[in-house]
Amino acid sequence: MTSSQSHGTLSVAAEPAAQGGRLGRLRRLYLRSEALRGYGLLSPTLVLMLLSIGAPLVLLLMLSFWTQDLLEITPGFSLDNYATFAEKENYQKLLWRSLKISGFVTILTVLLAYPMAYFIAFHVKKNKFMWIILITVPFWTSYLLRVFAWKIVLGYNGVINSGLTSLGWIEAPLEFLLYNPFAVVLTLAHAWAAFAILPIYVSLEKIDKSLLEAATILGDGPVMRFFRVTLPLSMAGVVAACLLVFIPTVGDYVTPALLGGPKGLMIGNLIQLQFAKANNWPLGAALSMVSLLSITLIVCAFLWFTKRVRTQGL
Amino acid sequence: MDIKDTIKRIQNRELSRRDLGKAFAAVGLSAAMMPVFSKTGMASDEAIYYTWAGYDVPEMWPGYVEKYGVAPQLPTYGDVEEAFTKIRAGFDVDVVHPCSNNVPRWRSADLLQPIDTSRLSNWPDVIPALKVVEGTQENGEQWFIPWEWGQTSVTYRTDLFDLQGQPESWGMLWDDRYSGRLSIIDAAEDSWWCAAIYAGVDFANVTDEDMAKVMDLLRKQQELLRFRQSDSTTLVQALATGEVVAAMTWSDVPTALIAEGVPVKFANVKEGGLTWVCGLVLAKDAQHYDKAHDLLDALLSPESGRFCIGVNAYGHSNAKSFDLFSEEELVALGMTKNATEVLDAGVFLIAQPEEIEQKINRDWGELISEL
Repeated sequence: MTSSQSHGTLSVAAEPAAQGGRLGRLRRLYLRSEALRGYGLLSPTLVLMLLSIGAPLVLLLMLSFWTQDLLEITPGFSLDNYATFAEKENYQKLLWRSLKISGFVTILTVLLAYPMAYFIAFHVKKNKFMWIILITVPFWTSYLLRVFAWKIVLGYNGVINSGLTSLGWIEAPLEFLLYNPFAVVLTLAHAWAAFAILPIYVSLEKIDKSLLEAATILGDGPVMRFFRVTLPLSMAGVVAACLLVFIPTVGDYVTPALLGGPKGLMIGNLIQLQFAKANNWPLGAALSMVSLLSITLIVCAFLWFTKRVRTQGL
Repeated sequence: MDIKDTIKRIQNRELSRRDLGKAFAAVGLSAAMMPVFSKTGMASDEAIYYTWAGYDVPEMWPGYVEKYGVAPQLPTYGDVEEAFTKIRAGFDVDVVHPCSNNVPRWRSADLLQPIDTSRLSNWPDVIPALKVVEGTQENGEQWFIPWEWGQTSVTYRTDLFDLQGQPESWGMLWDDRYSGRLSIIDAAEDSWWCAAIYAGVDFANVTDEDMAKVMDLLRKQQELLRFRQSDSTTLVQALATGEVVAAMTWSDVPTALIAEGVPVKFANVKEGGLTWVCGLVLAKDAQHYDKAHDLLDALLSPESGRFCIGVNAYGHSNAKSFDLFSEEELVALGMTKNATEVLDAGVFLIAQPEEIEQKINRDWGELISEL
C-alpha cells in the first residue's frame, strides 16, 4: 500500500498545473484516506448489494402498504394488509408452523452435522479435502432433484415401503412417510446438511489440540472434555450453522409444495399464492415483510441468548 | 490452473489451501455465470408458446418443426391464473393456452389481439360449433382458437372403490370411507367448479351464498385428501399403486392407466362432468406475429389432433383429426366426434365477472392456508 501511495502522490505531483486542480485534490484525498479506499474497494459489491437486495426490499416494503383493487394495484398508504394478517388466524398458524418446521430442521441438521464435522476435523488424517468435497457431492445435483429423490424414497411404493413389505415387516405401506410436515423436515435437513457441516468443521478445526491435552492431564474424561472444551470452542460454528439453516428454510416453498401434502404447507406457499393465483401482490408483500420480521426477531433473540450463555454461562 | 495438472496435484496431495480456494472460486464463478449463458442460448427467434406443463410435446406441432426445423420456445405454467398474472407482470409471450372462459377477462386486461384466421390453412376444418363458443368471437374477430375439448370428472379404481350400488357421482370425492386416499387438482379453475357442480350451483348466476356453500364443501373435502395434484404423473402413479383410489382428473389420466392395465374408470358422474374448451390466444405484444400464426396452424392440423385424441383422449377441434381413427378406436378412447354432445352432457365452464373470479381465487388461497 505504501509503495502505491507514494507512486500515486508522485504521479499527481508530476501532472501539469491545469489538471492538478480539483481532480488532483480528490485523488490525493482518496489516496490518503484509508476509509475511502476501503469503500472504493468494496464499491462493486456494495453497489450490487444495494441494487439486488436493498432496492427490492424497499420496493417490497412499499408494495406492502398498497392495496389491490381487482386487477389494479392502488398506491398509497394503508395498513389493510397487515390488518388482514392480524385478523386471520390461519395465516398466523401457517407462519408459526413454518417457524416450527424450520426450528426442527435446524436442530436435526445441526445434530446430524456435528458428528460428521467432528469426525472430519479430529479423526480424518489423510485426504481431508476429499472428505469435504464428498460432503458437497449431493449439491452437484439440483435441489428439485433431491426433493424428488426423497419422494421416491418415502413414497407409497417407495424404497422404504417396498423394502419393509418385501421383508414382511409391514403388510400395507406406511402412509405417514410422505405428504406431511415430517417429510418436509426430513428433506430439508438433508438438503441443508452441508451448510451446517462446513461452518462447524471450520470451528472445530481451529481448536488448539493442546487445550484438549491440558484438559486430559487435568483429569477430564472424554465426555467432560467435550462439553468443557470442544463444544464451547466450536459454538461459533454451531451458531453460524443454525443461522445458515434456519433463515432460508422458513421461506422454502418447493419442498412443502411437493412433499408437504395438504397439511404440510408453509408460509412460502401462501406468499407464492398471493403473487400468482390469488393475484394479491400487496398482501403477498405484507406477508413477506411479516415473516422477514419474525425471522429477524428470532435470530436476534438467538444471538443474544448464545452471547449471554458464552459470557455468563447458563 | 490446468485441469489435468490440478487433478494430479490433488492425487499427490500437493494442492495448497490457496490453490483449492482458487479452484473453488473458479467453479463458483462459472456456476454463477451459467444461467447468463444458457439464457442467451435460449433467446432464439422462435415463437413463444406459453402452455400448460405437459403440453410441451413436439408431437403437438409437427407442422412448425417441419417449417422452421426447431421447436417453438416453451415456457410452461401449472395453472391458468398463474399465466394470467405473469403475463400481466410483463412476461413476453406470443401464443398462450387458456380455456374459453378466460378469454373475456384476458381481453378486458388488454392482453390479447384478434387472430388472423385467413392465415390458418386448417381453420375451415375446425368444428363450427367450437368457433363460436361464448366470449371468444366478436364482430367477426376471432380472439380465441379452440384446440381441445373434454371434461373433468372422477377417475376411480374399480377394484378398490366400492360404489355400494350407488350411481357414480362427484360425492365420491367426499366419501369419508376413503379418507386420505382421495385427490383433486391443485387449481381453483377445476376444483372449485367441480365442487360447485356437486353443490348444484347455477354457473350463469353465482351468488355469495353459492360461494359460501362451495367453500364449506371444499373445507370438508380437504380433510380427506392425500394431496392436491399439480402434475398428472404423480397422480397416475398414485392411482396405479392404490395410494389414491379416486381422484378428480381430465381424461388423459384414465387413458394412461387403462393402457397400463390398471382397473380404473373415468366416471360418468350423475351431476355431469365439468366440460370445457381450451385453446389458443395471441398475446397483444406478440413479437413473432407470423411465426405465431404458423404455430397456431400447426396446432390445428390433424397430425396434432392425432396426438391430442390418441394419447390425451381429449377432443381436437379439427374435424379431420377424427378421421385418423377407426370407430372402434374412438369408442375405446371414450371419444366421439360430436363435440356439442359431449359439451352439453356436462356443465360447461363459462366466463365469470372479474369480482367472482377473484373471490374464487382468493377463497382457494384461504382454503390452502387453513389446514
